[in-house]
Amino acid sequence: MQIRDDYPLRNTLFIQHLHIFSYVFMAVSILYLIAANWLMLPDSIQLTIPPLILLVTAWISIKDTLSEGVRQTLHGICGLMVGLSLAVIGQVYQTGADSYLLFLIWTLLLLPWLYRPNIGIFALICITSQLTLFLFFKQTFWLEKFPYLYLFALNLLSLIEFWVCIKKYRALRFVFIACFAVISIVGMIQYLSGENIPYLISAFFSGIIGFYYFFKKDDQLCASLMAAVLGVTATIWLVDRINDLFKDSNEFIFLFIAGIIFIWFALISYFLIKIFRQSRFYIIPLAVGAWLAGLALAAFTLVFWEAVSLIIGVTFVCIASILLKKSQHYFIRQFAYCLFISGQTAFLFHLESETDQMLWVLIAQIFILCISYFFKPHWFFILIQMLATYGIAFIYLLQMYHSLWSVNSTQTYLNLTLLSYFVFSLVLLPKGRSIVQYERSVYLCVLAVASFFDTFMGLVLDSSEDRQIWIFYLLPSLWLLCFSIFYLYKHLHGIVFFAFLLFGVLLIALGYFEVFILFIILTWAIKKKDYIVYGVTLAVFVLVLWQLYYNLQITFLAKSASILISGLVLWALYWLLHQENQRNLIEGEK
Amino acid sequence: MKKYFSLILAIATTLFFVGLIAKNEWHLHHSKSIFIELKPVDPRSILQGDYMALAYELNLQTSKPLAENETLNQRIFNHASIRAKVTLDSHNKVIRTILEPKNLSAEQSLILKNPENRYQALYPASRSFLFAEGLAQCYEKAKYAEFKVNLKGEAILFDLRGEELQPLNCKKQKNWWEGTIKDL
Repeated sequence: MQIRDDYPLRNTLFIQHLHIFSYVFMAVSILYLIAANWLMLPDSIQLTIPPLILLVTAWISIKDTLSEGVRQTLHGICGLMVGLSLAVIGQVYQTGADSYLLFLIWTLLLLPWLYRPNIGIFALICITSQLTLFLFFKQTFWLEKFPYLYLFALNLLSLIEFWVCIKKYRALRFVFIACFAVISIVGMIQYLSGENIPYLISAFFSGIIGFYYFFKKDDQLCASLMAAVLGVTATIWLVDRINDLFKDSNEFIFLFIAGIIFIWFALISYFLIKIFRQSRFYIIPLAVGAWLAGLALAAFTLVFWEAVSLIIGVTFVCIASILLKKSQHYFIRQFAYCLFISGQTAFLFHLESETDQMLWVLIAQIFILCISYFFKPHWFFILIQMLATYGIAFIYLLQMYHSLWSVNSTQTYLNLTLLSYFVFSLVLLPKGRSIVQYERSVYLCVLAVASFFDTFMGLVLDSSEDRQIWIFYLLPSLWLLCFSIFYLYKHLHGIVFFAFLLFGVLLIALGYFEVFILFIILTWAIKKKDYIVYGVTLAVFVLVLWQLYYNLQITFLAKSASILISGLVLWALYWLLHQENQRNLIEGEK
Repeated sequence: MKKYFSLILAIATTLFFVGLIAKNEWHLHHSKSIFIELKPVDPRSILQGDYMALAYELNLQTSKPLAENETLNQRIFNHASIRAKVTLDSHNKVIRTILEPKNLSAEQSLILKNPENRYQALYPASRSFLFAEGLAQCYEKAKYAEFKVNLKGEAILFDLRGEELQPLNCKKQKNWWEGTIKDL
């Protein structure tokens, strides 16, 4: 029988990840203990720790044997320690100095660290300098006295930093596109609320300069993104004007707005095709426009008459389904997605208001999820449908025992936990041809649910008596058992198998079994080189550890000890897998 | 030289921090303690852990009477910090705070911060007192805030005190390894 290799636990890269994570866990356990007891430490020790780390890190960074990446990382840590030292001095001596001074001094102390190009330090300077500027204007009331001066300074500083970025740190240009997007959209909103021309200029000034630069350098992706940002800003203005023109008109205004948005973004795409003839990035504004138009269409369908909205919703979904089935053209498919989502929103919303039964909405959503699979849509569309199904099921379970917004009811708590583990069990599904194209959607859905579950339901066992604690052990145990039978047992043998099993059991006992599921998803992301799932998994790891820090049900000492034990077990796992790989390599050579 | 530049930078930065610490220590040791009565407020912040949000009974007055239709808020409008003088009793408790003092050179100066352009929101040095998790019950007994104030009126929030100005000694009531208590 051929052994499936969906989760390659013996992959060298995964073993390296285990090694890194073991140290991360151990470091986090120490960090928790210090952070939780920070204010209990004597002032002198508090004041000594950050400068000491700064000096030691700087000393390590001068070693010749270090790679440039490691040296940059160490200098980045130095930059953080500079800020931390200032924060600790401010905390120990509560002088009430304005916080802009802290960020100003931090920025000035960071500048010399750029003697050697360092993207981390530069990113830090961009953040601290912008904070300095904003806090200075706010805390000295200059923001009220001279609002346009702030606008000018903000644009000037952003453009200077953008200039440095494109000269030396091009990887950060996407961050500046996001920064220009915020300046642009906020500027437009402020212009519309006060009709002050400087805000209108600010809404387009940096964005147009950015677009012109990317156009000149033939950076088609960034130029398209910038065009989409400017398109969104102009759309806000358009929508506001249309709204003003047809103040007393009926709901059809949304239909009109949707049409205008669609035409407007189609024009931007046409313009991009004209200037970048070989580009494929013209689709970005088109997609943004399609989804914005979808929002307007959804608004149109939602404000309509109730029963008619149901019919319009179904009609939209039907038209979208036909388009998705028949056409592979990008423009048509984006239009179909937006029609589908808006129709679906209207249908589900009014179905609930007509029937007053969440169960019907849930059944309808499950049906929509099933039929959307057969149109072979984009993975993101399936992800939205999966998350919508989870969300509706979640609300249904909350409502079932008339305890909406309260998870105190034992039964509700039990049901929601069952629902989450139902989603987690998707990881265990055999990876047949039918599911393989939507693996990314499945994993991202599991990751989203894991984050939601940890944030709102709690990570560690609650000691209160009304909670049925057995379910916390039973569900993850079942998951682990199934995983062991379907995957683990086929890949690992002997002591390594039992070590992995022990790690799972340990995490169940400690109350954060989600960490095990995250590791399994990580193996898949590494194998498939799926950087989206990989990045989101790492982000969820950070969130889980963050949530654990703020869980006050157990003492920080217990938390710290449990994470330290997990780190040690991870290290042991790394060692065992590494040894086995080495052994296999030697046997292979023989 | 370039090789050692990072270490030189780190040493120079640390020396700068030592200077900052020395300046603050000098302030603490060469300034006067004054005590301002606290108003009850709600403690705890999600991000910072336990902390006491502070509000003060400053008993504000102005040296120059308010004109007709003039409010105190107008007097302090768009001034980031306000210079004031405080009248103290025999225990250095603040009895009243006088804004815009001109001929009160014998009184103790105090600089107040004005974050919101509202005289009710004026405060000296700090509006929060940070403390370790689990000490909230002990700090609830605080009735006065102790400030170390220099001649220029610059203040450092030093400690919280009880009804009779007695030290609360909250830190000594708990060992660091206990962390968060279970019944929080």
